[in-house]
Amino acid sequence: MKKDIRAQLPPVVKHPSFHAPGDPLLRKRSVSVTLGVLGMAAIGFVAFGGKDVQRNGYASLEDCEHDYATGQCTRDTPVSSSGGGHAGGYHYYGPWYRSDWRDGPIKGDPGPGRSLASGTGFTGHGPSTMDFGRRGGFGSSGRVSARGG
Amino acid sequence: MRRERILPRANWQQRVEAIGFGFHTLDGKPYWREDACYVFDESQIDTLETATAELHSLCIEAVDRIVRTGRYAELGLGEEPARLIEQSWFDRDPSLYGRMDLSFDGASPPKLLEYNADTPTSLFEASVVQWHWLEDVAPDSDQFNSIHEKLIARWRTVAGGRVHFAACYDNPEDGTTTDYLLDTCLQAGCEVQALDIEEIGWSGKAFVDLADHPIERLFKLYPWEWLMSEPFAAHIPKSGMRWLEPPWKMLLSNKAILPLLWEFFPGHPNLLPAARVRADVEGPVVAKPYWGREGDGIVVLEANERGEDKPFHVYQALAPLPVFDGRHALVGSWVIGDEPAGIGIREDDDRITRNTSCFVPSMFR
Repeated sequence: MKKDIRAQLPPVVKHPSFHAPGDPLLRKRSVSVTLGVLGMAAIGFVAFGGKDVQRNGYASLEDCEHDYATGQCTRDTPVSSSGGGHAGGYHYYGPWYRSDWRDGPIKGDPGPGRSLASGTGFTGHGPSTMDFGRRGGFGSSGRVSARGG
Repeated sequence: MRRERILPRANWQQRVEAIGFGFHTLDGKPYWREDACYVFDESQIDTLETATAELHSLCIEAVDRIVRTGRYAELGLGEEPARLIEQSWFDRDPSLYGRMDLSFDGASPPKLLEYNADTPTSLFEASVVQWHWLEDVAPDSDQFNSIHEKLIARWRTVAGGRVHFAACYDNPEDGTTTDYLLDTCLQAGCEVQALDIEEIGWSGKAFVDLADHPIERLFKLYPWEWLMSEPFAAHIPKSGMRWLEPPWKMLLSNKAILPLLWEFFPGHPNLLPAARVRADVEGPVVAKPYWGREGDGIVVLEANERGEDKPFHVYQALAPLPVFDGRHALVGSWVIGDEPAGIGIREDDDRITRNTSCFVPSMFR
């Protein structure tokens, strides 16, 4: 059941925007308009590519701490739809790390990743899943429409 | 209020480019025009300033009434945005800026056409470009424009530490507007970081930047209704991130606020009759989609035109823009924080102002 925020709000609470502003300026015009970084370069333009993140998921805390140091494992629900065999259930996850499948699925893993990386056969105690954090979850509408107003 | 034809500054293109204004010409046509300017007298500026402050107060009151009574469905808003709006309003999340579009002829009371409360642009032109223009052409005149210093002061109030800025940086207007706001934030003493809206990541616990640092406060030049329709929307409530503009601004940037304002404050001299049903407004009306931008989807219906009642449209009594030299002039009145801060004039051959309309500088004497 969702929390009813309204029920908790005393009737006298007012948003700060209700408070009257100070005395108006006698002049209407800015004294000076100086710019710092604008104009020197396109500030917001940065290169992007291969920045997806992922983490290894385990069936138990013990399995997770077999691959990572104690304290690096957390109990959580998967972020991505492909992030767990038990939809909506909890798993134990190692830390997030940058991934790029072109260079191999576990490159960049900050933990030993022993179970997966050993190449000696999967013992059943290693990662049971991978959870993929994502970028690009905002911005798709902006490709086809005007933004500002 | 009058339109004066004047001589542009020599090499005006280079002069405006020197201060970072790169989109003065769009598709080969001037967007920034300084072969004319609008001149007001002081009492007209006082009228605009007073009306803007009054309208902003009405809007704040309207937000409070909507939130307390839960009338979100009348704005086409579902459960998720409603929860975000309530949370941000009751958490007292501050706003940074907004722009009211007013119909004003210099004599009659200004009328609110809409409140661009979420993602207003034309900010840099109003704050910086026309200020430098006045310095060059009429330094002894005044201009209703303290946007720049009010922005810096506002940043000191609303933000400490680091602020991230996200926009669709492939659009020059959006990029310039966002970079200008970043600049003012930097001048206010904050740390800043820019990234494209598509570059925001989700770590499972927080929205993160390209260095995987959690984003604590994000300015986004990206409409709320788009954010709410995209894959990361599900993460917003649990992210703990603070937003500029805050979610409660969804109520004011939505054209469906216009009938509610008229209902709450009927007959107010700065408001126009508005309804969600065409027949409830007499005479000629302007049909507007709830979430339309830059004139998109706006249709004028004459008095004898019934039109069709479209879903998610409002009908507002027509307040014709004044025409000078055949140009329809619209006053964009800026609100920084909760204070009126200045104006920018856009004009067009057509009676509907669009993203192709020209920006013309102004002054008062």
